[in-house]
Amino acid sequence: MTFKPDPNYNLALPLRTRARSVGLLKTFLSTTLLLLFFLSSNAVRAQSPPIEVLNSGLNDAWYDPETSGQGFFITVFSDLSAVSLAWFTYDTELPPLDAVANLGDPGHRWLTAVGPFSGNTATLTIYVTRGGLFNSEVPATSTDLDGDGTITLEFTDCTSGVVSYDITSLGKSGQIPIQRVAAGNIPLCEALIPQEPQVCTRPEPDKSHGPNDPPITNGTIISRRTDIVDGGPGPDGIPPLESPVFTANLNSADVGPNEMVVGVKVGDNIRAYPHDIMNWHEIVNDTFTIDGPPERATLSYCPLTGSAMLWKSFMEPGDETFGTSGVLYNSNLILYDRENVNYWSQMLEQAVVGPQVTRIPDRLQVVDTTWATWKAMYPETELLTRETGFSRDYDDYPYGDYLVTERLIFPVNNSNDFRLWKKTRVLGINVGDSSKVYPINVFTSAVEVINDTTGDMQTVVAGSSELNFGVVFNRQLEDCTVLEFEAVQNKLPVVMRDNEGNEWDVFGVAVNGDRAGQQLEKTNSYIAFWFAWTAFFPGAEIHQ
Amino acid sequence: MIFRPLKPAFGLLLYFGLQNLASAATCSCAGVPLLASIDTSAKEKGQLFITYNAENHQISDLVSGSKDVPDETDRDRHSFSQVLSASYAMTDRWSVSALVSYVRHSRDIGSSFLGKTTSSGVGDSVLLLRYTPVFITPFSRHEVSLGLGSRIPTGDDDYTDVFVLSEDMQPSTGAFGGILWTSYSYAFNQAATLQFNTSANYTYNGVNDREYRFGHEFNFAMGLGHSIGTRFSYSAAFRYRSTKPDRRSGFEIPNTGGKWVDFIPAVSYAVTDKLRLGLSGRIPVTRNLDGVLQFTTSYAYAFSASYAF
Repeated sequence: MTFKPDPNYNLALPLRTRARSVGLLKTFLSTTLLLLFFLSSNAVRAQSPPIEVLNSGLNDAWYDPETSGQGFFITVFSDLSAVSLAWFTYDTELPPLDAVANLGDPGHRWLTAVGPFSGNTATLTIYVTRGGLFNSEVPATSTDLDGDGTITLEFTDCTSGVVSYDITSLGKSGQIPIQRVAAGNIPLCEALIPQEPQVCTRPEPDKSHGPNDPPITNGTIISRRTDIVDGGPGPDGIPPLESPVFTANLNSADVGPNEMVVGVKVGDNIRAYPHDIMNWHEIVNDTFTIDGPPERATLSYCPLTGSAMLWKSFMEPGDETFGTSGVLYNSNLILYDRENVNYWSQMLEQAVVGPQVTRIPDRLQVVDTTWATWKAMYPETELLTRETGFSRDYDDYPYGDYLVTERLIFPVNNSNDFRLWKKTRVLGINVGDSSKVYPINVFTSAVEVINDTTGDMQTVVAGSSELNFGVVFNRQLEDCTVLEFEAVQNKLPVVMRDNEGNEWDVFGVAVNGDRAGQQLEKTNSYIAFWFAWTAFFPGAEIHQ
Repeated sequence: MIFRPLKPAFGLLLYFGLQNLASAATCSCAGVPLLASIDTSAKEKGQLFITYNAENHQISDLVSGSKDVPDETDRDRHSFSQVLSASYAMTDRWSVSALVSYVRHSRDIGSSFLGKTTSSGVGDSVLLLRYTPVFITPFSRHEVSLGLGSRIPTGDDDYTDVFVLSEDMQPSTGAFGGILWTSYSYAFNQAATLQFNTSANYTYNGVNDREYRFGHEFNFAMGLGHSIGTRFSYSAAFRYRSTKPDRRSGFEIPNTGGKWVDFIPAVSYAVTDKLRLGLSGRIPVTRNLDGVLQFTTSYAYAFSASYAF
């Protein structure tokens, strides 16, 4: 009887039909291996990752299809860095025809080998045990502890290896390529291979300013310096606030529940900056206590583009503040730093003119929303007061009907993109050459969460039309885990929950769950008026 | 018998009319008092006036509507304009005037870390044709004049410091404009040493190549002028001025435009029969400006010298 090997499974076990080789062990093996064959759901894989260190996933029955009918049982003791090998084989010559054995074939031989391994190679000493009887304590067996030779066992992957033997007592040596009889342990073996730190292909936040990326010329990143226009007030003519005064009085009559504020949370500092004040000053050079000495950061709000940013100061103490330059690009605020006098485009978020052109600020997250929403999120917030030191009527809006008409004051690029009303508040994100906006008024009234993609970045967007906010984060973590989110209602500042059960707040911080304390990566995103977003990032996709 | 225009009126007309028509330059306007000098018009056939006028215009008052607001930014904004004009009477009733200007603007915000911004250059020019159908003579106490002219953008309107400066800091408006002008004078005595004067003008401003249009402007002034002897004269007038908001790309610019009433005193002295020197001032009386906050005129003063050929 011949068992035909299945070439697809490398499970060839054509048991030799030699009369002398038919014995109990072979019968056992044939039965066992056939059973394995049928139980094995996977073929021995052609592709397997290289194995650097032997592991217990290699524990299995191994054989060489060319010498089917004999083989190896291999056990790896990872904790001991040792390997045990049992080689069932035959004598070097056939026994006489009249030779008999009470049990099994008189030509059958067992060799055992034990030894340490290092890396993917084990060096074993062959031992031959003599003098014993079937299932009996006596007579006692004897083993030559010097061994009968050596076996070197080397695995290149989880599916194949080489047995190199040198049996000194016989004067025989050679190599036997081996493979598994069945594939069932391969997944275990592969799982036990130490994983290289996975190289995450997730995109980094785009540190440039996106698709509207004109060449750098003469220290100017904006293609035509004439595109930067003088707004009239002159440098610091719109005076920044240098010593802001805050109150913890949340019932201040100075700001109504539906009035807009820029909310920030830096360390334990939670502050709200009303648009009514920012309309007149555009910049607040503020101080935050995070860990250690106070740190400066600059909040800017451009009333003409409706965009707010918080930049951590990178400058030397003394001149670590920004001023209003009095000029605009795409109707958007250009700040200047007082240390080196670089001009910074707020919405491009980088220096566009000056000695450090293309420099990127260290951006911090802001939440642009209503006072009522912000208070609900952070009742412990402080509120910027009108004690600014300037004689301004903060109840007046300085630009007339600007917010409710199509009127623009300064020229902008791509002004003929009428897909949305010009002053629609949109949450925009820019990733490389891709850009997408989410109109705030299109979010559902309740918190809505969208698991989305922009360019090659997987994002999560949370927003609400009634609560009037929108934020977007990278939902692919540093370990490449991609989280799926759902909305959380009535639990501000918590706005979403991931598929692992962690809950995340509006700043993208996990507030409970196994990932508590982790922060989703910030993105190049902020709220602005539609005309401004499409001026800076033409061709932006509009989320429907 | 033909009566020539009364020469003693020269001084009064010169300085009173000058201030009547002076255009205020506000923060939102590159306007320079171009019409000031051109008002020194020749009124007698063959007469030619050459006039030099220099005005310093301080524009540092911060106003919300009609209310003064303290300026904590310590802004110092002024314009200094020099105008050279010529006026020639083709007949006793028809004259033509032309002027060229040179302007220097300065903007210094004391609280800013950045320095002062200045610009200077040739400004706009004006060409004005005037018709005086009725003029004061020993037998006529009335004078009426009509004028039609054009503002010509002969100067620089894209002056650049680090960036192209705002329109109000440009020497020139960069756009053509049309001028309609009229005046009426009444002499209380035969020698016309005491006069009541009133004038009005309207300037229509065109759009420059940056799609910016200064607000159209209307001025109306009235006052009295008195001459003592043949050499010294003085006048006092009130001027009402109204400008529409400036526009860019057709849209109004916030915080531009408004209404002003100024008091304008002036004195002049004829050094010789041909050369007359003058001083004048402009003092805000009241104003009501568009928008919620504007910088506007604090005061202005001017010196002029006119030579009659």
